[in-house]
Amino acid sequence: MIRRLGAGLAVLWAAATAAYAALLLAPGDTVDILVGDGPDTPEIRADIIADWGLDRPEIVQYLSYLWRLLHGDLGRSYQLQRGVGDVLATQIGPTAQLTLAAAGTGVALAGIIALVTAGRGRWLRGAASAAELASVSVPPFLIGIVLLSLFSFTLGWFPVSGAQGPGALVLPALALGLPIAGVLGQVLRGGLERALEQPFAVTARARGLTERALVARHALRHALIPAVTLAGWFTGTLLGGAVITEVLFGRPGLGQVAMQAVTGRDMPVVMAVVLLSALAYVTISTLLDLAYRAIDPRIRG
Amino acid sequence: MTTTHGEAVPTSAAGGGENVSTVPLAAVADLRVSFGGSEVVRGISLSIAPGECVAIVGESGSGKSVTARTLLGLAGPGSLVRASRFTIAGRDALGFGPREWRALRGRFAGLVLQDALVSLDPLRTVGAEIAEVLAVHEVVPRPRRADRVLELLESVGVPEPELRAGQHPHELSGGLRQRALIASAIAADPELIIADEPTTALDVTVQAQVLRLLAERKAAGAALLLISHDLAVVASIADRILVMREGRIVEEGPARHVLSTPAHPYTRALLAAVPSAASRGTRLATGARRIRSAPNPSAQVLAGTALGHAYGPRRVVDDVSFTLHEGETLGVVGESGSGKTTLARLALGLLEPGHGRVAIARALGPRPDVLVCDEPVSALDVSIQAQVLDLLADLQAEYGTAMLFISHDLGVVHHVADRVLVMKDGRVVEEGDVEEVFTRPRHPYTQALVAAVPTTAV
Repeated sequence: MIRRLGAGLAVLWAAATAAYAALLLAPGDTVDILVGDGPDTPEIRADIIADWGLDRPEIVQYLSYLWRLLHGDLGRSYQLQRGVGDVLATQIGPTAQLTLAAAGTGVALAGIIALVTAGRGRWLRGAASAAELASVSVPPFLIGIVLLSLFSFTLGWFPVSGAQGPGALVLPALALGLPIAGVLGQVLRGGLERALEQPFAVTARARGLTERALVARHALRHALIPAVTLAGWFTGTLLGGAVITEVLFGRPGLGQVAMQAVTGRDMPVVMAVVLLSALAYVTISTLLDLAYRAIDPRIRG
Repeated sequence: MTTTHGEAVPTSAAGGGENVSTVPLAAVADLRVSFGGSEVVRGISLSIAPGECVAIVGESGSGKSVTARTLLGLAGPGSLVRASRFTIAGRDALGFGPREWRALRGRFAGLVLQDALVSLDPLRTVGAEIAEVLAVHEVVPRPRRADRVLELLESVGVPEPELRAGQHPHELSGGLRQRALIASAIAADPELIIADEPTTALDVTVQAQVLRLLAERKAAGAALLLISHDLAVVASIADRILVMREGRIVEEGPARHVLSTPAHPYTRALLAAVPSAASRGTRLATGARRIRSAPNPSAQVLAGTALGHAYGPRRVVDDVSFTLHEGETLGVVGESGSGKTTLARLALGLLEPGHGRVAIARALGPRPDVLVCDEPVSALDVSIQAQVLDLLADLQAEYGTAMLFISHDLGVVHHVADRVLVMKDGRVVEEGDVEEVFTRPRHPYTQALVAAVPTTAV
């Protein structure tokens, strides 16, 4: 457990260092890079040199950068004339809503599909397989466009863009959650079907269990093991997909912030988004790792 | 689920106790089970009376396991079951729906499978597995279930039941988890216990304990349907033996009769193929004498001196010495964890000994002088096992190959070996001529091993 936390901290440190190295190694003057496409005045340049300690030796710059990060100081966006932490804080809410809703949708759909189709007839399984394959192979932005044109433009059930009210969350969460449902659904169904063929399933049936109880009390837990090992892929899909989904649906959020920062070359914001992604990644995979240990007693020893 | 199995038994027919005992717990006639187009059970008839032990013996693919599971309505997905008569507890089972079958499973008949490491849910504690039967059939009210689980574990001879109930199968030894599996099968006190290869994969002493446990259940009044590929395993406990081959029963009768005067050639072949002291020097597949040259005691081909190996603080091989001569077979017996396999790897140079020295006389070439066999036949049916052992004997006769032969099966070692090492906890506790060691064991551990070997002698 302590090793797991240490590894998480190491990943965060590596992400911070990589972002810093990218800043230093980028061609051109560091001050020019930090100014980016924003207003360029001697006062701002003086601020940048003072904030980043660019007049001091590089090792001191690096250490003071890490020291500021440790205190939660993400620096300042000279384009937006605001603290980066402030910028992210106002935008993290909609993104958290979107990713949690998408994760919930994906997991719930995957669970339902797997439970309904595991071990059933060829037609049902074939149809589910085809749907899963489609949702996995079609890029998320295309899913988003199809959903938009069908449910917003044609049927008018949901708003086309924005983040007002729960209705505006439905289509983005679906667009981001469907690929997750596709992959997880396949893995869960495969896990369920394998578990139901194991000798312990015969023993459990021989105790008089119904198939439903057999799935609920025995097989589902076995099926979760391969699903949990997909944690890395799962987190990456959510984070990467959030950027595309927010832009496509015109939702506020960190994805929009990241897009604008990249196109406007607002380096402090880009660096902060990289760090935040690393933090989210480390947190989710640590939680799933703990879940893995809770599910499978054989790896606790 | 209101029907209990007792209700349907027509006890009132004659009003006398005698008649009750003649109603079979399970009876089938002309039972046929097929999967897709292929019929794996081809018209067998059998019946099991209360308190009786019936054994079905046959090799893999004979249909014995499918037969056993069909009696629980668990023939499997895609199976087609037909029979001219199929009664369970006096009721016609051909008309049973899923609900009626479930009411019987666990309550009327309990199932014990091979290898509890996979036959108990590896993710759940053994206590939870046992309690499940009690919950499904509401045998014991919820607050009393935990106590009942402990009683059951105790009744099957599991020490420290409070500790064990909270452990997972992988935390228990092979013997303890097989007992836990049996405890889960008998939790609802079924009248019939179906045990499908219950002792395969177990060490010989643990096998003897599990057989004794099943015999105790029988003595307590339960009927037993025992499925095994090993005639010797069922010999001590079965009242009647059915020999199955390719979906048919080729011979059946009282156990004593089948074992001592087998009528069918297949039964005779099965009995002859069991390697033992009596089969030494014969070909198992045919029973013919085989010609073999005597070992050459002056030509030492492999020797280990004071070998030791440790994994961390645990010494798995401790001060073991051996010599192997041209044309000789040295048997190594012992239970799992005794260090047999580590010794084999040391002998092959696959592991660096922590102590001692391995001397190989000649380099291993395309025709090796030494063959190290580690449990070469332990997972095989008796007839395949016979072929493999015959082949090894042929190789030895032709080329004078020396063999280091490791097995937990004393019968196999008695059949093949000239000399034997008995290992326990990494040490050699006894060694010598195989005949001498197995007929007059001096060390108490060897005595226990020899006493635990099941035999077909009646």
